[in-house]
Amino acid sequence: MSYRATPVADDAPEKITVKGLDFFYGDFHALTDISVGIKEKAVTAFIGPSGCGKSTFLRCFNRMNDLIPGTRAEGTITLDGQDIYATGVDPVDLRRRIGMIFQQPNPFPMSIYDNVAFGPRLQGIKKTELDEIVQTSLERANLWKETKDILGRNGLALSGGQQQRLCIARVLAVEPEVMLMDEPCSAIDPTSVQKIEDLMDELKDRITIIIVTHNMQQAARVSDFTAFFLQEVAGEAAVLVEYDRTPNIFTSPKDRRTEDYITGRFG
Amino acid sequence: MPSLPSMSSENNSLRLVSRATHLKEIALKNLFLVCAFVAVAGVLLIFGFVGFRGWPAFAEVGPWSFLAGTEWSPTDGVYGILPLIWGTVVVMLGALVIGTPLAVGTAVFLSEIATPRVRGIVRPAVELLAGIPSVIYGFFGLIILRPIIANFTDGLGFGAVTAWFILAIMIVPTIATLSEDALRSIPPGIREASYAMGATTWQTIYKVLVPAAKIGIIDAIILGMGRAIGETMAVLMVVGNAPVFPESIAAPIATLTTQIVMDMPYAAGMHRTALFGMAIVLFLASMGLVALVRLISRFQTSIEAGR
Repeated sequence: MSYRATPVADDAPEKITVKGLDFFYGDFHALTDISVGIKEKAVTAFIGPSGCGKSTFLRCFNRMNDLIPGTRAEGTITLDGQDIYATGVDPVDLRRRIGMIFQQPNPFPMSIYDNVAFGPRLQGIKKTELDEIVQTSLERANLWKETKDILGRNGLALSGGQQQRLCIARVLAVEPEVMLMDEPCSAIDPTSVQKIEDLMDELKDRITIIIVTHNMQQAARVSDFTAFFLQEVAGEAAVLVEYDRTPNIFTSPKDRRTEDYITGRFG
Repeated sequence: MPSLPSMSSENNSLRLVSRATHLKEIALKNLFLVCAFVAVAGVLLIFGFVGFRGWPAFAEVGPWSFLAGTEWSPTDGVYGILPLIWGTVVVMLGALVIGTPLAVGTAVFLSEIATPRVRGIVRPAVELLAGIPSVIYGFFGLIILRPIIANFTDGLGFGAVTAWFILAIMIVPTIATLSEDALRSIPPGIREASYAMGATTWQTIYKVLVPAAKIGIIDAIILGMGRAIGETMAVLMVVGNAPVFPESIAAPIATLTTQIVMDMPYAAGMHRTALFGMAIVLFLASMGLVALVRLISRFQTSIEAGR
């Protein structure tokens, strides 16, 4: 396996700190006692078998789980030291600072331009500045060359991989501090996967990226840190088994279960 | 232990389709064909009949003086239906202006805001509106609404305004249920994307969902238009039935459908023919609306294909 070339310093600050997080869907206890520190301007990968709660955990960071009735989070998640679940925190504002990319590319059924301008318009940015923001965001998402002449075309007319990069451009347009990626490459073609992985490498200079992936090679290629989640017994809460620098996880895991997973013994 | 029955080569061969099964298949296929054919034949027969009976109105009165004639006075042999077309359009447009926001608001509420429990109460109620016989709407308009309107205007309350409110309620189920379907057919990922971008519920509704369901909502409004044009009984009971250009929105008017009902029992000769001529106009109007809906959905398909 190949690993990232530029290691993040040990004393890099934590952007997000999770302490003792438990998560419930109604009566179902999905995650138990998770504590993890996400380093700033690094790529952190969440891996684990299907149904182990890694996506659920990811959705705690921008409180997308709030949209599902009957869900509940206990414990604390802090962004730059501020508890995001504290009373009075506006999830809408939080989501402006923490962008999200989904498994299925989900551009809005409107023009490419309007897709990228969506976030800035929500924030009331002036019309005269939009052109530049749209161009910069598409450039940073490596989509400008392909779309500069068809900005008026419907975003749904693009290919799956282009749609996913359009979604990334849409998120980048609001200059988020963190980008959550929920299996962003599992529904698109291999060439596009390559482009998105390159993109993550470029973006990490500016923003903190957390990626959930099924693909261990991908986790190894793109991430600086890896967290391995496991639901040991079906129907019981998942735990964070091991969290470390990515090369350590893949070459010298400390936990037997991690080793079993990455060597393909289950999952 | 009992032994398995021996499998001789004779009863191991594939069985052939029996003649009875084969005949049943053919019979059922034809039965469904007949069912579908009845609908098509019905449309063709009615159109043929109405066209055949009404055509002389265009031929003998003259298409221009029939459609654009400003006076409807059958006793004098004057058959101009423009006041009736005008009445139909005024009543329909007013009903749409009042009914559309109500219906689209209902649809948004049902699909985006209501909890499943509330939705379980409101949606059947809206559907029930469609099931109330129109004569009851007419009654309600006549007894309850008309006196209220009369208080605010100087007439008796018979006129377009009263019909607007009644028709507005009557077209709500059509527009609301179809708009709700359009909103619900938006993939859930689109909503998630909007919330994840930091949009509020309200911003998600008016910046993403309603534009995304735009074509479906327009279709719903057009079908509501069809309903408003065709509605007869409830309108008849409240518009006052004067085939003239009204002086005010609260003055008596008549629509194509109400005039047909009013005159049909006694009309004879050319008068009767003119009523069939009006039916042709109605028929063409609803065909036009259906064609418009078709055209719009084709337009949507081509947008999604990228042009």
